Amino acid sequence: MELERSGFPVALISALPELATSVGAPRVVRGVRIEHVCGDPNLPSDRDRELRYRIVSRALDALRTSVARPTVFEPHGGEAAR
Amino acid sequence: MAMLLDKLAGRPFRSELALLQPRAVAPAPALGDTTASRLALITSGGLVPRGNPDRMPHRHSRHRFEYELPTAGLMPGEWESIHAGYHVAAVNADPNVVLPLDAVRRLLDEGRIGSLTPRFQSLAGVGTPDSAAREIATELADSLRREGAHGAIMVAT
Repeated sequence: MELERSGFPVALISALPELATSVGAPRVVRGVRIEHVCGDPNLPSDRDRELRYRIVSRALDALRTSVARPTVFEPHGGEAAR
Repeated sequence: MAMLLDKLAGRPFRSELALLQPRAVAPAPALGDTTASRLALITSGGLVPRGNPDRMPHRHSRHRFEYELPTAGLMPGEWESIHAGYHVAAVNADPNVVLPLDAVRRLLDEGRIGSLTPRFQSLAGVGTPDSAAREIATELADSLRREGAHGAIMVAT
């Protein structure tokens, strides 16, 4: 939050996006699992990598998006203010 | 004890532990165009070079650590997580799950990110008191300013 106060937008990738927004993180991208945030261990490795790419692409979308309130960006599109 | 007695007697009571109220912070302005932006990467996944040469604490972080982003990518065996709060096997098998450098480099190659700061920021967190978290964040902001970053992608575990 100090980063936001200093004018740096942060896209926070978290497997617990509701927790992140509840403490006020403004731009949150939904990750997969706490110990495997970027990607899905149940997928074959090429699709796991592809999902990681999607998640990071959404982080760029989040950085480009003006938000008034904590907002969760879904890896496969869509976003919702909390 | 006073609270319990009040509670049992049906009187109004309040905890002697003050709950921290989240501080409301206005979101930083959006980046107009990430293709011209310089981004920093941050992870709270406790990612360190194998053997943890700087002895990053695995819980109760007081500082953040910074490491060069390896040109060849994050190779398993060269990096490990020392985090005390989750099962680290997946990270040790592929560090990109807590610091998605492979995906970030692909986006760089595609021109969707302007550039990266040369070092990433790493810590474990885990029971870091609010006051220490604020100091760490101030350190992070200083380092982003020094490195000329416009914004950051952070992975939280």
